[in-house]
Amino acid sequence: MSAEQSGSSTAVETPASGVMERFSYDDRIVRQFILATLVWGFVALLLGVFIASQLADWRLNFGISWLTFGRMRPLHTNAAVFAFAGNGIFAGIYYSMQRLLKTRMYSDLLSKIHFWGWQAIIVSAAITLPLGFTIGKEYAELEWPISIAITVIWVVFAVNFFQTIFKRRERHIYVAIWFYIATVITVALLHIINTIQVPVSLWKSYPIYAGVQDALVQWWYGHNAVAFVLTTPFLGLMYYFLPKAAEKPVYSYRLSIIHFWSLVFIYIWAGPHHLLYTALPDWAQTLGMVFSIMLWAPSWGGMINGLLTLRGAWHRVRTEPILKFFVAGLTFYGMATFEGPLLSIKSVSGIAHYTDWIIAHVHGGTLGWNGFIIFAMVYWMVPRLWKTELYSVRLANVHFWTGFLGTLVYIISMWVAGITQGLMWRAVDGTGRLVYPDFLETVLKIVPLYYVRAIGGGLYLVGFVIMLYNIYKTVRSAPADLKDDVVSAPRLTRNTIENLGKTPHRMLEGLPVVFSVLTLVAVGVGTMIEIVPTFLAADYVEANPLLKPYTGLQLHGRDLYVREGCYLCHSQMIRPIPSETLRYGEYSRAQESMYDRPFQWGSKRTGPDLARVGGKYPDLWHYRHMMDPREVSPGSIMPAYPWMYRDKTDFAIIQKKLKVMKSLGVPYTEVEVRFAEQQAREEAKLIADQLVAQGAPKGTEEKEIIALIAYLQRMGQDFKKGLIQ
Amino acid sequence: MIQRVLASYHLQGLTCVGLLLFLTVFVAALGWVFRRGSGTFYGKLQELPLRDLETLNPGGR
Repeated sequence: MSAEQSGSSTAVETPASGVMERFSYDDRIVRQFILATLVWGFVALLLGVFIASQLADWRLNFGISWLTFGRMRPLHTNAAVFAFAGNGIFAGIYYSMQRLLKTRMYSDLLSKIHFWGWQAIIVSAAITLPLGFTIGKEYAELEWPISIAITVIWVVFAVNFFQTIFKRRERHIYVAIWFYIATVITVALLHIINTIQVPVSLWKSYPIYAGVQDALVQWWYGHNAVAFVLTTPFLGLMYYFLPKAAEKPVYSYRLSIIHFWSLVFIYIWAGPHHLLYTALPDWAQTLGMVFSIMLWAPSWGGMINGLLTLRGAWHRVRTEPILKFFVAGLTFYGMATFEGPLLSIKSVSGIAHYTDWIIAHVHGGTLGWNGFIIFAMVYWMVPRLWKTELYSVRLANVHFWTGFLGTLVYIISMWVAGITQGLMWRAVDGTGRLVYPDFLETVLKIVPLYYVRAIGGGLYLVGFVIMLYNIYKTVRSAPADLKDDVVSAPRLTRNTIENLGKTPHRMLEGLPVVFSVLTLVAVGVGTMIEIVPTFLAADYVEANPLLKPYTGLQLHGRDLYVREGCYLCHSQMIRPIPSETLRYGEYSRAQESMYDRPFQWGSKRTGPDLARVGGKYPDLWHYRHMMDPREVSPGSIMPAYPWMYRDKTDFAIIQKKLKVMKSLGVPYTEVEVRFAEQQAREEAKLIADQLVAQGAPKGTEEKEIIALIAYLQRMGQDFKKGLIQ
Repeated sequence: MIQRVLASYHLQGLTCVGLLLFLTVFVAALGWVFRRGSGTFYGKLQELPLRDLETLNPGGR
């Protein structure tokens, strides 16, 4: 292996361009990330089809704890976002930034640590999530040891990334790199702020935020995970790979600059649109709505810039699958970024929120935009990296049409399901009564569409498998010895950097530190203005001495509720909309969740809202319902939870939980903490005895189901007792 | 109506600050990109992804 191919560079003095350096790109790491993308993409899609099928037919939960929907769904989202899209992003970034900056990555070792560390994190997620170890916050479910590992590996990536920029041989930093910089900085900010937790044990922790604050921080994170994991890096990749594939420069570099700064500045403010009509302060909701609508402009600016890059090359779209994927991907991006602001308008959100319309919106973006851009990128890079030809262009075209059809079937079925159910929930007759008072009726109406959705997802998966075969055959035809290409470029001297140009823009272009700081300021301003005032909780959530925190048993039951992912199908937030208050009772107040760590307002109602379920049914109803939901609710699609009748409550950990909660400001007394286990056992025995009196079997006081019932019966009781106005 | 809407915001100042900040950034960015003589410069930048370095060992073998 030559010096250039091992990562070091050699220099040759030439009269024309100063010192020329010979070096090679690290393509091995790109190949590894591509293979990881393909493996995890298959896993993510398979899980998606599986959980879609579970919603169509509850029997596919099999009564097995780790296979049940509530545990599989976080695994699917994490696999799709961080494993499939994540590895795809890294593959594209490592490939493009080396070529745009005319340099090898700063450190092969850091690249390897990044790769293997990221895969280890994914594997640990694949083990812990099915086991029920979760924080209970969407897209941020991984417990604290894995959260710390994510931070460490991200820092490794960031160091390698910025050092590569510093040692570049190209003076100017192309706009794609700007988008990568925004991603590296903002993802770190989002992850660290949202996952600050206090551990109770190795696999259990509580967030430092509670209730309204937790909701705002979580959706500031959740929305911007979409922005800075599924949008900005993909736009960067689009700005590099689309011109390469089209063999045309980007349509307007000016537009890309406006696109970048507007998007980075606006996106960070839009998180509260996930919390419209909730107990979040009105001003924050309005802020989220206004900035979401403003997002229309930069998003479409980017899409138009991408599509117009194909000027003069449209005839090639007919025959070249890579361009087909880019065009369809950009079109889905345009659709999703039109739909997003639309859904952020309060009156539209009133119908769409908690329904499958949101699922359609999300999958339009992930399947259509993220998936297709990754496919285009993979088809473009694989023949080049393996120094061969693509095995079959025809199969790539079949993949495109199968994936395209699958995406359409998926999103159209979920649009219909979401709008149907949203309208059914709101239907009120002339006498002021709900037309569909039974929630289950609104679910059963759309179950056929859940089958259609599973077919759509299945088609997309079939297309993916076709791609796997095509790539496998392509890689098999590659030469055995894949040495990295050796290239040469003039060294970038300090003098050339200092003389980048006289205008502020050229200066900014060449100064990655200043540029990064400005990007941080752009995302920081929105973050500060939005989040800090809400931390001043007294303005919104007055301390109420009448309100008692959860008992030890209720708190433990709540953790079981989080463990089983109940929040993925049940909300705990009644919106101040007439049809909601008719169905569930008085709208939710901020005080009701002031001790909730994590908050459990939810984002989807496959089942009804549970904010006021406490006392609505007797204990025995819950006991039978969790054993077999169809016994008390015929036709229900909810899974059964038989293991909660076998597994024993861990009473010993309850004291630790109360201790941590007390340290976070929950008003437990010293006595309550000291005797937490004893009090929990007594409360469990009381519930078990009452169950026996109602006809349940004896000997259940130590089973998990009792703790869960304790929590379910507590929900909404403070309001019903008049402790909250 | 505008009066009623504004009256219902607890911290309307922050909304205004946010909008003003965005407008400032947006106008500044517009000013930057359309400054005189920038066309040639951006023309060069546009070409960056298309300017691959010549491979000195074709095929890597």
